[in-house]
Amino acid sequence: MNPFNQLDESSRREFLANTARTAFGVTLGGASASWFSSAEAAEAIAKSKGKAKNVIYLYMAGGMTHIDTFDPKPEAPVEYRGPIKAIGTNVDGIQLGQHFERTAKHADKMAIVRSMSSTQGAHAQGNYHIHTAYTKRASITHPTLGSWANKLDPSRLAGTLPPYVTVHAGNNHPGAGFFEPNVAPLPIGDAEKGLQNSKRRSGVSESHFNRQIALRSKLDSDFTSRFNKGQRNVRAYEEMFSSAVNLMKSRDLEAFDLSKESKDAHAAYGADKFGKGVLLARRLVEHGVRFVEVQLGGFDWHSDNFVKADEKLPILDQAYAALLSDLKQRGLLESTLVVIATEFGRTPKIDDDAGRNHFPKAFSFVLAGAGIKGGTVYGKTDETASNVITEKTSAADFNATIASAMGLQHDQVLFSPSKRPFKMGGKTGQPITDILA
Amino acid sequence: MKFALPLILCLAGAYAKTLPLEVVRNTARELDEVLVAGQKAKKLTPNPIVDDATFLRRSYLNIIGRLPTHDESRDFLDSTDKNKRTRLVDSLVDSPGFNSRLFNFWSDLLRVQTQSESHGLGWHVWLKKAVEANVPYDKMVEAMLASDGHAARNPAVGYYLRDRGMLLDNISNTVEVFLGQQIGCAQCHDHPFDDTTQMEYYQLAAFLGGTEYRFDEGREKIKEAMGFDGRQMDLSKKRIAKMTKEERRKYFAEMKKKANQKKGEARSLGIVMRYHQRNAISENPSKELKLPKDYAYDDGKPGDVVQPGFLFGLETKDVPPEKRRDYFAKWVTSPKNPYFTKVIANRMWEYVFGYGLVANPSDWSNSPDPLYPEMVNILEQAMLASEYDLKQFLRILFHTRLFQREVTVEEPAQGFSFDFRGPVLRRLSAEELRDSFVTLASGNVDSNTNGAMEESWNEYVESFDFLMSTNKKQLKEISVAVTEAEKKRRELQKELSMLRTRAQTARNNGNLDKAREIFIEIRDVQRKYGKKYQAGQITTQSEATQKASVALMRRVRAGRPDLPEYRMRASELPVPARGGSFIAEFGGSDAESPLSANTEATVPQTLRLLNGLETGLLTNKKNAFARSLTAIDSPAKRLDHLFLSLYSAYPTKKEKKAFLPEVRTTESTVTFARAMLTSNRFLFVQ
Repeated sequence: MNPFNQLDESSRREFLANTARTAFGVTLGGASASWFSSAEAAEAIAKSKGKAKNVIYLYMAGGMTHIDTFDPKPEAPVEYRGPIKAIGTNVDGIQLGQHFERTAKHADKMAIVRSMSSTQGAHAQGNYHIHTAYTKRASITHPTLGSWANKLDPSRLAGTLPPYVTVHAGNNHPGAGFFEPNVAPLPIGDAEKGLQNSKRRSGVSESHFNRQIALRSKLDSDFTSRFNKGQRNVRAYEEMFSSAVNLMKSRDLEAFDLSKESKDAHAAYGADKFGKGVLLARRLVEHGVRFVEVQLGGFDWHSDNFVKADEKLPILDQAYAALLSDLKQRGLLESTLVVIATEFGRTPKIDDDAGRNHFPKAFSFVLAGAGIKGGTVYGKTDETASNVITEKTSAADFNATIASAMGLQHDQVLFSPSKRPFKMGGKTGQPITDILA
Repeated sequence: MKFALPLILCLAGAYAKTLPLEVVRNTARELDEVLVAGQKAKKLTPNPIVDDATFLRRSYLNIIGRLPTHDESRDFLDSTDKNKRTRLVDSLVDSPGFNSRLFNFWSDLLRVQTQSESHGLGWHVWLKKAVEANVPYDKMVEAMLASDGHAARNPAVGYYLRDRGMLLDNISNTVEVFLGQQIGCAQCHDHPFDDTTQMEYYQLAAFLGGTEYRFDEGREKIKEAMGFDGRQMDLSKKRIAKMTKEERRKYFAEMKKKANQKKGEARSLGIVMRYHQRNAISENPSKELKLPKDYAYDDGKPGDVVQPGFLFGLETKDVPPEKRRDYFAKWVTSPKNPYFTKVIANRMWEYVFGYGLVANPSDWSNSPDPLYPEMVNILEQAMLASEYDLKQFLRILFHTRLFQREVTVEEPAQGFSFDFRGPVLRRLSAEELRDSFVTLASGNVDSNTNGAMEESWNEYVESFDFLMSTNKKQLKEISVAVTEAEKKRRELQKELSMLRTRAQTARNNGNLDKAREIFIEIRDVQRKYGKKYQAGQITTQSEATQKASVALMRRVRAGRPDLPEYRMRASELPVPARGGSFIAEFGGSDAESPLSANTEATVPQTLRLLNGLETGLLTNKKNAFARSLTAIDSPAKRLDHLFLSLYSAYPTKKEKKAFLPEVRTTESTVTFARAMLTSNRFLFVQ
């Protein structure tokens, strides 16, 4: 029998949370069976001072230029710095590219890491590496930060909202990787449209709908008993079905509805798609979603770098500054970590097409809000932003830092179904304690 | 192995478009025998043979990429023909649906972007025709890798133009896609796991080192139309020598002025070629690839010129600079290349059975040893023997016993070699799922084609041919018109940027209403401008040249199909599917990296199946399916109809007993059918 018919709202939530935990905690493979029940892990999470209850992770897809944004070099020769000027901020000695006027007023909340460096110079590989702290391989898919967070601390899985949402992330997000689907992100394709198809179609009564759900499990009973155990994707569709039905009946559904936001809020974040996405992220976090990633694409400026900078950077500036103000005003900045990340930087030397090419050797990331020492710059590149000269930081270090800010153990080992050990902070990641508050 | 080779070699002799069924079946049997022998040695028992219904569903989905219609299901299941499975396979392989599924595979593997500049559409149309004509794989790949010139002349250049300005990424993808090796890391440093060094990477890339993203023929055309060969003097040296000093000075000044004028004129005519520059490549024999600025190994210095060299230790003889790309294409597609044949054979195996014999088809160096190395060899032999005829090769695989076995209950462990006691259970691909819905709604639409894409492309080629045949006067007319339109465009852009600044200022001053107002104005301007651009309202030229100039100013569009989308297969539409579309939502390729399509479960997918537009299939009377369902008067027949249409099977006794009460009324039937649509039994293919 399908449980949904007999349960009221609160016991349904509980039921789902329990099935999710029992069903998926165990299937991760023998080695991890001890993990969920590990008192040590729970204790470590409880004891830690993780201030970042939530994370809003802004990802600039395509490889955002570092020298024109968070690592300006006003003294560099013009063939490096180009026409973009550096501007001051509300923190003495911290400068940003000229497009970040609004962001400049929030430098006191930000820690800028100017010493990011990796070896992954192609988009798919770079993107994957930053998201997972591991190198892309054909033989395995590693989990992303949001999935790690909910795996290491499953407390938020109990809610009716998914604990991990991606907005405008495209089809190639590594998601839950080898973890079970209960920690996979819910992808939102268009923030303005929110979660589509979340209402019953007109003409379908609640009793019809419940009947439909009951019939489905009856129709699938042979299929399920044959394949559920051995096939991850079959389990995933079971899990998604439960989550979808759960969501449809959830009172929290309006978290996805941007029309509930004021006109002023819409205007503050910006009229474009990214602004809407960031606004949605704030709404979701407010409603209890732990980890929201919003992507802004189109940073791959192989030509006309400066025309494109004029078009694109104000979009980021506006939405980011609006988000920090808004979180602060709502008292959410103390519990929410805001991240700006990208797959790599761009060649500091401008080429013949006024373009900049892929440059994984040096680039910048930004952290702000919960758990972060604001007004700091960490690491340094040389006079042309071409080489990291101090505090070289890897994607693994960066992800370990986020783990620490969230109060999670970055070096807790979990095993893949193939029995290989992996950590949220990658193989060797160490948190940057200098910027943790 | 010993017994296997002779027959495979026979196959080579027998090859002539369609192989005789006997040869196909014998070859398939050999494959089975080798596999079973390998399994026996590992004490593995192959899975039992599937029932007719499972075979039917699997065959339709794996061969032509959609569910069978109700009638197709019934006909097959009711047939008492002993050879019906063999016949079904052959008829499906020979049907247009076969090309549809195979095209989806290619567009995903090659990352086709139909709407990229103009070359995207040309390449798409070219590729589709190549699949339909069953062009041998090696010929098709060679045509792309050796391509040169303008897309209107040779649309295969779309392969290089897809990665315009990103030559090094292009070569990484070439090696991944056709040779199954990941060498991307070596772009920046020696490969950490493989043997490829950064030097080797650059040596291979050097074959493409002369590639220029420009349109040489267009430059020639302008020079020719101008009658300007760059020479300044029109008098003989003798005559000039006879001039007085003053005369000579005057003559030189005049000549120089004339030349400058002509140069200026040529430049202004050049604008007609500007958009074409983006749709062509050319070979510059004197251009060479150099080592990057930060090259750090001992075998070369930054800035050193790199000589072309092949991977896998194959010898490189003197390569004429103007033939570098040809040599590269020959090397990749040569039967002697140690990976070219094996890689496609393994990809085709995965296409049929859901998993590669070599576990990572795009990363052979990081694949564990295959469980049956002799299978990899024999497949390679079969591919060579079939002379890269993928249709016949796939036909052989579809005729194997393995294709008739039950799927394994457990999925393959990612990255590990699989034992192939049976094929792999998989979710329908995004296109298969969409096309199955289309088939439910509209019946068999496999023969419906979207002529609009080819038409648009042909028009573009015509306008291109016209441009290349214009005289100087016409060329000038076009250039004036294009300049004028460009000017208008710039003015509009200026207006837009001014409005944006004003909006920004208003917003900064907290005047949000005002800002909103300006944003609306911006939208209006954009719309107006868009229309003008589309219509090509250029007033200062004759009709004859107008079409040509309009085509010059924008990329060619895929065109509006003359049939609604739900009456066509996914393979008739531009790729990648637009965001938010059914295909995108169910994991269709995003054309960013090779084979990016996936079948990962998401909540929005389930919500769409529960409540999306597509469920109208069952209730909307415009749909054949909804209509036929209501026309049936007995519940038993109704249940049969639903099971045949969605599960490609008759209900079992047990199912009849359980579900007959559910289809008594129209209303309850719809509820029941909705449940079927969301069931895993529907979403997966066994």
